[in-house]
Amino acid sequence: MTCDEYQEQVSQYIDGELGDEDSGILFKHLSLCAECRSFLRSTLELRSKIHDEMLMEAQNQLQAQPSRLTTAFTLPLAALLAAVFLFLGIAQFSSYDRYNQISDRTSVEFGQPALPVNPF
Amino acid sequence: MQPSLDERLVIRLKAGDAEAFGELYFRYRPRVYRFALKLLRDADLAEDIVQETFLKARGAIQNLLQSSSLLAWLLTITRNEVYGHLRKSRSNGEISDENVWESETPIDEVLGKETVEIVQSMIAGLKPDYREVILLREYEQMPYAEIARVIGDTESAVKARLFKARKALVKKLKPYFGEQS
Repeated sequence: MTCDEYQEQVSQYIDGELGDEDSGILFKHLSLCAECRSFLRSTLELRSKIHDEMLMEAQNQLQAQPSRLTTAFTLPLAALLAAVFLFLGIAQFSSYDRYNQISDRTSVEFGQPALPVNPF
Repeated sequence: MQPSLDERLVIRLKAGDAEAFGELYFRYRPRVYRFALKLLRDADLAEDIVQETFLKARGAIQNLLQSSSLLAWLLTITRNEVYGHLRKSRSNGEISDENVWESETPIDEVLGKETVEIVQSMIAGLKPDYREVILLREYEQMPYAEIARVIGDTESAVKARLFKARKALVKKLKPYFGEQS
């Protein structure tokens, strides 16, 4: 077999498409041939650079997405906070109102002046 | 055995589930776009091809038999659209000959660039029939049998084309790789 044929097998080997027997023969040749070893190294490096590119692409996509993610999380969060503030406001108002009613009743019962009326 | 995500999606698509098509689009659009873009090297054109691909896919979903290879099916449609476009835009119509390179990468295009970008430029310089096997194998990690289905050729042709493309790329990229013996 020529080096060109072995290198075609290198190409199949890195794709997981070379059988065990052929892989064994290929590795025997690789142990003796610097040119074919260099081809193996370079094809693996090519693959690694393509994977780096895909990783960068995925990172860019993730960076482009936060606006969508932010919207997805901030809108419900804002609505929840608004609801909590509204609830607290109503609760505070009603408790103040109830407090005034109690104070009025107490001051009438004990003959003391009523507490100042809630200015709000 | 549990049906795969793709198989379940195909069942829903065939049943006319409107949401399933949106799911197909969101799941596969980025990969269809990347394949079209890398074959055409034109973002606007790639966008048009994506739209055409999904339109054709919608119309042809009932013909899809191999439910486990939705991506291969979509990329086959994409490839047909791309080659249809390339045929229209070329006067001779044929794109295959012995030469692996479609265009030389100008030297100023690689000067001062990271190796990753140089690799991208070199892949872009391959002829479409060599570029597509590199894209399907390296980016989509498809097995040879699936690549053969997408490009409508034999597995031996896939093997041979991949080897030629790699050999040509490695030869040009060697100066940029950290070579030790």
